[in-house]
Amino acid sequence: MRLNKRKFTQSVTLKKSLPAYVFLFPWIVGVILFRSIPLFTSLYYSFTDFKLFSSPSFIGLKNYEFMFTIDGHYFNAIKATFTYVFIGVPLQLIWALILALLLDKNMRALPIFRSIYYIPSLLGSSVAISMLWLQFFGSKGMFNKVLEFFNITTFGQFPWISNPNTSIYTLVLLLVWQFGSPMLIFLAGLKQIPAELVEAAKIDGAGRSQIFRHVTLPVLSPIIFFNLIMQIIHAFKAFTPAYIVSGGSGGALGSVMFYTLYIYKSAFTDFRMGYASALGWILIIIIVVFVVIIFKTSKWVHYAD
Amino acid sequence: MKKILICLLVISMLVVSGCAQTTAPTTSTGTSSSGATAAKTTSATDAPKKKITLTFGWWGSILRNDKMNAILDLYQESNSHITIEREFAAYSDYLEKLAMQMAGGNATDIINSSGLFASPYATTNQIIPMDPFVDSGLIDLNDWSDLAIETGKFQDKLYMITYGTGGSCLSYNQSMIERAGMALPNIDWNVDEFKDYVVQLQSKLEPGTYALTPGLSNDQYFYSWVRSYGYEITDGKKITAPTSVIVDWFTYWNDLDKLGVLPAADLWAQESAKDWEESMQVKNTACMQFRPMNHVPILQTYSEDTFNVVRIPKIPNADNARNEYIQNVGMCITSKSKYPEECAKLINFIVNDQEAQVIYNLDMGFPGNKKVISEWLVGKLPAGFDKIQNLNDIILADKDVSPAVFFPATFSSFMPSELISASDKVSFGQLSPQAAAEEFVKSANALLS
Repeated sequence: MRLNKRKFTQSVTLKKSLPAYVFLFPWIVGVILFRSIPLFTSLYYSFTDFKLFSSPSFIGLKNYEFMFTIDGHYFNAIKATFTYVFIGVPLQLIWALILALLLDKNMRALPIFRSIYYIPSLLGSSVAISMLWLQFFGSKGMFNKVLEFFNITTFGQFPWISNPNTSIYTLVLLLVWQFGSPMLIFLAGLKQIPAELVEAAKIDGAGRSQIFRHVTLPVLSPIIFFNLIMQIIHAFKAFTPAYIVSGGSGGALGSVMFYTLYIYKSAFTDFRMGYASALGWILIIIIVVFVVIIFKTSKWVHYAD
Repeated sequence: MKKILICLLVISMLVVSGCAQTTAPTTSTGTSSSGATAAKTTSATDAPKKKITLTFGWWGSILRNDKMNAILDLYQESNSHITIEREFAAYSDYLEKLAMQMAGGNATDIINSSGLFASPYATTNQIIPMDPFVDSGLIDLNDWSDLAIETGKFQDKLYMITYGTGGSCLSYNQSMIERAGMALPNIDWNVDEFKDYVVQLQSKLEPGTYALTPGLSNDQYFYSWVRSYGYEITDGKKITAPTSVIVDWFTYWNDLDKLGVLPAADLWAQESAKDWEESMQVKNTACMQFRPMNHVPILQTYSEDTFNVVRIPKIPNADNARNEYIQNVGMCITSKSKYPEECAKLINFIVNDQEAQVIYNLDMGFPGNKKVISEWLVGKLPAGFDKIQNLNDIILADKDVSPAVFFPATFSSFMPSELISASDKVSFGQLSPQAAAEEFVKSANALLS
């Protein structure tokens, strides 16, 4: 009797869940076909010398060995990418938070400002903006004209975008410019700060900076944490700006050879698919390691519960 | 009822998500199917032929695109059963797209290629030898020069029919030199005399104008340099040129940089990527540049100044030899093409038809068919072509000059970027010429192995 009741319950549960599985089916097929299979195929290729036009043959860890012991371009790519991520992301979040704080007022034009400030996030990764950046920071670009306008003539017609010492920072600036998305999330977070906490702090005599440090930041910390993780992952995946400003070459001295651009170059210019697959898997590991580090050091995040 | 509704919804979702039709491939600059006004229908007097669609891809500027489209339209007029779908893109975009198309098995029937990068396709049978078409007469090479035919061969098989050949040379703005009151460059000069000349020229140019553009990473001039010493850069397994030859190359350019005749490396990094009309030579901010010969008539179309050419300087360390790399660019038929014979006929038309060649007008340099220059284009040569013709005759008469080869498969894909990497380190003062040469050899050997 008990067994029949369990079977009956399971049968009813399955019948109720069946439509859900049926609707999920296309997505599951998509994940398997377009995500899982390519992912694990690339893992296999990373242990081969697959060169796009020939069959892959197993070479063990040679790709990884080459990467870490011989390939100077690899460490160049790491340097460029880390500079972009670990300087660009904090600056972007700081700027996004500042603007969110400024906009966290009950002003009529808030939706308009929000929309305007969000536009760079929509366009920033596009080819058109990258080309604009190329022109803007070129030797005869608008940036030098602006400096000239303010009588800053020290740099003359300096090619900011192609000089290996400065080119990466023009792309960091591009990343910072795309602050709209984290700003909106910060704005939503600021709206969630309980008013009574702020009032209580004011009653206790706290000034604005003290309220910010002891009330706003702690309550906002989960949002900051979320934005940090998402923007770091997004920055590690950056490709278009580096490709456009350097024409795919990675720039002089590989100064803007982002990791993803190096993967692209290895795969589609040098035809070294096996090596590119190995590079891709190391990138996954790098991102996972940094995310784990951030999680493990997240004692500064305060959750309301 | 509920179950029927659910089933209908699921089926509609599957149809929408899984069954998007693939469209015809598009390029970064454009794709067009035939723009011909010629009817696709057959005329009343012709027996109906099976309708065929061929696909054809090439790289180039807008000017070349217009020429190729006009030639293909012409072909379609007399072959109304054939439709030619065209794909064209800028050079670097085309190469990347071509690699992907080849890997995916959906490249165009006829592709553009070059000895610099065709060998991977040949060794993996992605392109087919055209010897049978030559033997059967579908492609007529009877009026062709041996050099032009040889430039399309790899491992003794004819994989490529060239549009035209042309050696590396030094292009210069003749009007700028005359305005500076200097004598024109001397064809018999060596690198030391060349250095003296450019220093003198630089002293007479306005600030912000340079006698010469950097050429450390000019791969064709680099090959010419190595060949002048009597070596090929690689045998496919390792770098076969001695490191000392490569040290000499980097030293030569380092010396020119120290002499102040080159733009700053960071400025050149920005300028070198610009299109023809924005180039330093056209904008008169640089006088000389090492280039393939066929570039000069193209430059001339963008400038009112007169451009001219001279041979690359002799190399005293190489017994005053010079062996210009002869560029070879042409058409190949992909192995996946369903109509290789029709492709062969089309290629034959492009390179051997008088009207087609008048339209093409020597865009890629010296055509294989000798009649093109000697008969068909008499009085119609593009501006500047007479100058490169004279130089080409001189170069080809030089017994030291050898035909271009297909670079080994493993080398051609990554060598230019390794040269650029080493060149940048010399240009920006990070490495000495000796250290840069050693790094280049080490890195290239590691990749070749």
